[in-house]
Amino acid sequence: MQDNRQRRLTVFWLAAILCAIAAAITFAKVKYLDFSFDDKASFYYQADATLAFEAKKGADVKLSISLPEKTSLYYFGRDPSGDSRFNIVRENGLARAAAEFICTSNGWQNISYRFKIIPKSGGGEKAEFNLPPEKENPPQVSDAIKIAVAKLVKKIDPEANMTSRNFASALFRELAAMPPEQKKIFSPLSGSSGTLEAADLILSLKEIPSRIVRGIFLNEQARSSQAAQFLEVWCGDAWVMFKPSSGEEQKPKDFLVLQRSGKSLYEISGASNSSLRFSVTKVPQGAASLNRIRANVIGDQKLSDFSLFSLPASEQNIFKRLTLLPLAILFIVIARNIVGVKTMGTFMPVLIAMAFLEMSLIPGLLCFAIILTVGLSIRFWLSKLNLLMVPRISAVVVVVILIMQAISIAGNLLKLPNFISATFFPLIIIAWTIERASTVWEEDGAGHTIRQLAASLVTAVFSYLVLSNSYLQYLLYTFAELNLAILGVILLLGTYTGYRLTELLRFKSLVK
Amino acid sequence: MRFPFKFPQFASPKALHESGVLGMNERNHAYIMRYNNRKDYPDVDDKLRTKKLAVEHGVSTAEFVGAIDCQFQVKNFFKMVENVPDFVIKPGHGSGGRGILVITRHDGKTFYKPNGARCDFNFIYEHISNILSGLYSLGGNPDYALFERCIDFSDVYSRFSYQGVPDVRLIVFKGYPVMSMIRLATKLSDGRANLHQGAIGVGISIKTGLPLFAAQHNKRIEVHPDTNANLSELRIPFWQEHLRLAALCATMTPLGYFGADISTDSKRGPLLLELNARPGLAIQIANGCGLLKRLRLIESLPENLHATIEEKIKFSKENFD
Repeated sequence: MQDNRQRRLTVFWLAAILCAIAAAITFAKVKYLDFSFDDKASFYYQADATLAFEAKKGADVKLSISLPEKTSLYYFGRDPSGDSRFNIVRENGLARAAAEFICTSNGWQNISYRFKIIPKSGGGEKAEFNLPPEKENPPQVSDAIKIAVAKLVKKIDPEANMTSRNFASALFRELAAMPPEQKKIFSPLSGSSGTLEAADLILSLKEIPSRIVRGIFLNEQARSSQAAQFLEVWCGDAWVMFKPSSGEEQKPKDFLVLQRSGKSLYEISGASNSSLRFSVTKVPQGAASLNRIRANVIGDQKLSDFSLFSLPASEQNIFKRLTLLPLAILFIVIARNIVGVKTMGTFMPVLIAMAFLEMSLIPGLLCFAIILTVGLSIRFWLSKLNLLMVPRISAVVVVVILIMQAISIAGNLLKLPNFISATFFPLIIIAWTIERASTVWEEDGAGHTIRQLAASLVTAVFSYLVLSNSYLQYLLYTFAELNLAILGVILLLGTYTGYRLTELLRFKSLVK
Repeated sequence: MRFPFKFPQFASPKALHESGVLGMNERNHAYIMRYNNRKDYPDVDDKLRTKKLAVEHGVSTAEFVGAIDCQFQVKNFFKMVENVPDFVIKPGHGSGGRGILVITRHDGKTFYKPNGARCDFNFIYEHISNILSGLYSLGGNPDYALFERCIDFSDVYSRFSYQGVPDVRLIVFKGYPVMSMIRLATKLSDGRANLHQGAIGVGISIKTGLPLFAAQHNKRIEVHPDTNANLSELRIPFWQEHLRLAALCATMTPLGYFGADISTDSKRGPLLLELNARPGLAIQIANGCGLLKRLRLIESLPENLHATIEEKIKFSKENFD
């Protein structure tokens, strides 16, 4: 008795440990790799930062492009299909993609850094970029500029009582209206870049913290565009983004910030006439492969190796079926030991269900019925010949193969694609089912045979419904470790000594 | 309008447990796996071995005629049986009565089955070949054919059985006979004594040897459907000897939980037919009583409380109705 309890306890702990491991891995995948429980198809962005430049043959070109800062809105990572000349380097905690090479030809050339951007689920711009600015000394500028700035400030805010926010917006309106040659005092650049630099300078002289933000719009379908630029102004409690052309406040959607308060998005030496352009494509993706891409982008290779995603694609397809099998087997355990269904062969229903999966349910059932009927009649005829057992069963196997081929060919001729895959039926199992059915028929009569076959088929159909559920497919493929929990449950069921459901009927008469 | 389909009424698991019903899972887990060691299974699965053990321990069995274990001997089977008037051919590793061929008389050419059907040399030749090729053995392994004399039950149970040999099944647990029934063949069961095929199970009181309850296909019945005999008039001769034989079987093998099948020959008295390491649960329905309380009672006894089989039988008779 003691011994038995000890064993039960061992099984219980084993099951608990297996479930705990499964839960821990699942948790890690969700928490650190952002695997999704939702099997909804989604998308990611593939972005190319293309630097075009003119260089001479043999010129030693050095360049680097600044990479996006960490954000709570997106994951991003290098796409290995891009140019391999890039290395990732870190400068002052910021990542840059750098390359150094000798030009092999004259004239215009391109180099592209390719990266993936995956929206984070439920992310929002968090406080990390709303940190208050550090105290900065006003820039050293010439007296002429100082006077011009003071004049401009006086014009915008004569009483010197405007808030930073109102002042910034008024400043942009003023700069927009200003003739270009007058603006040249504040910045040598023209266009909106000039406006930005001018505003940045004026604000910093007025000791209002500001910074230039560069980034790309992900949802713009434009083939290729330059980075968008905004000015962020510290308005006492938060950074507010202003559009340089109009001075409107902005809260851009689908905007990936590449750089804050830098001089330029890229640096290049050894070449001339350079320009950086971005192109972004939205790539629709199923949830399962998006999980893999996300895991790769997050770059935690160790954890993503646990998942089946690290396998080659062809093996992954096999594993997609395999990962679901434990669930179907658990189903069989429940059907037999908890419900008490009598099936022909323990795992025959699951294997039949796998064949249904290839053929879809109705053609599968039809095929199964045809194979079984023809097979059984041939088996009955064979039994009249008094053959020894092994040759007889072998004959049945061959007959089953021939029936399957016939169904496939007929399916092809009649343009019924589902029937072509009749060969997916596990033929040895079918042959044994025929053999068993015929012996049960001879010994216990047709009633028993039909009842057992019907029970097997019903179990097979239920297994099919389990196996064909696309959400379960996704879940167990993505979180293959859940099969450890299933193993635990199967072990636990191995100690179940309660009544089976059918016994509640069978022994009903014994209740006093 | 009345709905023709009646939803089955399930018994509550609690009520079943209170009635002491043993379920399949509990039988396997708490009794078979616990008290029957896998290595001892050949004691009961191999009929020749069972026979040998029975002879060694003084358990009477049907008269041994011979055995055939290779295909080339099959054609010579007649030499073995030409001097006996009747015989039974059994697969050495058969189960559930499968593959048993009974010949009640023969004249050297024609062989007669119990139902009067005739068969010839070739039929028997094929049957033995099938046995050897493993058709009736567990897992389809190659097997041998065992030849025994028929059990002559004609004057004891003839009113109560349709064709086949009725046998008494006793469940023996740790040497104590705990429950018993007699299985009677019917037309529905095709002359065989298998309950799931429609044979009748009649519960027999361990205490008195008198019938308690009769059931066919899990339903209570009063008379034999083919012979119309009133089943309550059934009497088991030599009941004490049945109990002694069953308890003696427990000394043959280390198995702790098994079923002993005993049939009564009109001349030789009770004979052991075979042992079963996984006895079915239908015996509970035939007895109208669960096994669990009886098994628990025996488990609660201190070890070696009853040293001899006589003491064990006495305890069983006092406690099990």
